[in-house]
Amino acid sequence: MIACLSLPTTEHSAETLLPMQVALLSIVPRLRVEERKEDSEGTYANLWIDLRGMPERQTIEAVIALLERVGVTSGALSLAAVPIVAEVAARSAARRTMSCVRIVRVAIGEERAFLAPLLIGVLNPDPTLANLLDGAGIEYCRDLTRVSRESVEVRFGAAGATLWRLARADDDRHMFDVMPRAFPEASLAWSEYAIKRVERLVFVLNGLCESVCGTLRDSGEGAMAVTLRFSLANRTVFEHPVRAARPTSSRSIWMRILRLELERLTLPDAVTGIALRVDALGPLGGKQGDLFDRGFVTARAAEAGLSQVLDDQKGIVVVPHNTMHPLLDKKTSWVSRDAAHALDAPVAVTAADPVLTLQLLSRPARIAVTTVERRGALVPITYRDGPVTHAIVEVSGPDLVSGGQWDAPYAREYYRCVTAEGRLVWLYRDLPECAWYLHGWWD
Amino acid sequence: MSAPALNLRDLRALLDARFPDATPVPRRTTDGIATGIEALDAILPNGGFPKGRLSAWAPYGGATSVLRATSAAAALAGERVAWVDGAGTVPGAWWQHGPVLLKPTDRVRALRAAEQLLRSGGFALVVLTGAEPVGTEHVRLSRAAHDGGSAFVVVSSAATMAALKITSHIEPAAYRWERDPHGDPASVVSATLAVRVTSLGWNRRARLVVPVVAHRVPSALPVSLPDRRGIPVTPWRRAMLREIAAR
Repeated sequence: MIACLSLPTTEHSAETLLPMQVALLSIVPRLRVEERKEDSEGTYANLWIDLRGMPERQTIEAVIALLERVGVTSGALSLAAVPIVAEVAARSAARRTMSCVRIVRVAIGEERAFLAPLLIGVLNPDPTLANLLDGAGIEYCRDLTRVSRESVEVRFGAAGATLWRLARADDDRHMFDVMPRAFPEASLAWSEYAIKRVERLVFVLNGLCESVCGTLRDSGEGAMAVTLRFSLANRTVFEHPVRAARPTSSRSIWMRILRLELERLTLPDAVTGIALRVDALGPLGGKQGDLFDRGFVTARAAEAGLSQVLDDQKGIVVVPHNTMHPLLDKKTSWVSRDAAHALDAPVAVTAADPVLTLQLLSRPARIAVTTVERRGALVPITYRDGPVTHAIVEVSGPDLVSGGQWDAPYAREYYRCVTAEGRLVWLYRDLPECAWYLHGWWD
Repeated sequence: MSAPALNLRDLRALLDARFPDATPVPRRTTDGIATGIEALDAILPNGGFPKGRLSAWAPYGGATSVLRATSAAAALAGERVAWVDGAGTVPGAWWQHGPVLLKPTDRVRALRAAEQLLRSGGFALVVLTGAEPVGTEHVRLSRAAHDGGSAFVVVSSAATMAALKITSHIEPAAYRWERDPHGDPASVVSATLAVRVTSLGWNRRARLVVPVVAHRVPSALPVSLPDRRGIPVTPWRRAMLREIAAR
């Protein structure tokens, strides 16, 4: 419900309205003032009062008492859910009242019925439109609502369509701006000493975190990002944003993240105060699962576990992105996945029989090799990897690969070798560098 | 049957009932994650890797290939699987989607990631490769597996605290080759794995024949026609070519 207090401007000027607004703000938190609204019968000042979330009866009684105290003797206060209805009701009542403040209430759902018997002039159509309506024989609001919107739009244009909506008590004006939501925060300051040790900062943060996370839990939300604000002994402020992989209200998770961040942080001076402020919120609920999925019951646990790992080590969950590059070590780039998508069901999982596949060293290891010639190629017979020498019992190759003439030329001779220990290893000779490398093994 | 034997049997049954987590794996008090390989499931005490327990598979000898097949089978069955690639050796070209792949930057981070995933209890199977736990790390990981109830398989040569120890080996002669017209090895077709599973009161062996993925280098040319494009002719290379020609 919103309330509209309509006062004739003949008795109330802007100077008299100001102290009234200040006094009203002690009763209601949100107020909007329209100092001059004109209609065919006079000018009025409208004071809009937001009653949403407030005890209606007590608030109105307090407002009326206040108006009597400040000496308001004429006007009307209307209550309605739709702004145009509240405005029309207040103005109509104000005209009929000369010695007191009259109260009008339009119940929810009866707005259209309230407007229907009123003259169309109460909606303040502009003079041109009023003439057109008069010419068409539309005198009351109900006359206009009986016509279809398309017909009104064709005959009276966009202004006619707007008036048609108002006559149907369809008013989507936002009388009050959306209030920026206050996110949870907690702070603590001290003046007699300054803290330098991380352990003590963690101790203070633990208390702040408990307070913030408790507020989050009560609201059923989780914080996605927070800001640590340090007041320093040199009278400066140091801010450090921290993000979590998923919204959470768990104190232990946030403390772990904050402790990690604190350990990495270097502050310019000792700390005399800390504030923990939530910057972004998100819903705590997990994704809708599939009831036929065996892992459904553990979905949240899996997400929580992965989020914890991702908070700890960013970019650790990866999927391969393969290109057509002929060199295996340059073929794949690893794409990080966030917690929200890490558990997405793969397109198709197929059962696979075990197959010995290549395991690639992230960086090929340089080795010392002894070779013999076989049909024009030098094939390895032993290789030494660190202190260990491996004898090779079977060799196939070389497989030659070269390219990259336009950027980084490469040319390699690859050999598949079985060692005496039974390992199938992949060696190559880098031809431009004239060096041997162990690139991987089959396992 | 004598009275002491009866008492011992009753005591074992009581222990199994009261402390199922403390009993040896062969008593089959825990579920298992099947590998999907019949010959291997047959020699594993629970028909698979036991849940809530640490299993250690010695590296090389086909451990990774079997574990990848197990991961795919578990994912296909609707379970969640995480693969922690501690050494970064998993090749992207052959990675099959299904398990969640984690690539930590070092050994400690790999162990920490594995512990966190195990404790979460959201994954039926967690595989750790390329990061061998040592000393008390075994204890922490086995406790995490126990707390979360996940089957945990670590590819490690150290099997301390492991409820199940698996070794596999491929003999040099166990590789089957396709040979070129000269009789030289051309490509590996398959290999035979000798797998041994041991636990308290359990010792089983099996042999598995697994194919070997044939990675063809895309621009490979015959030996007689080496592709030398892009190589500057260095004095060393010129000398090497002369040496080969002289032989």
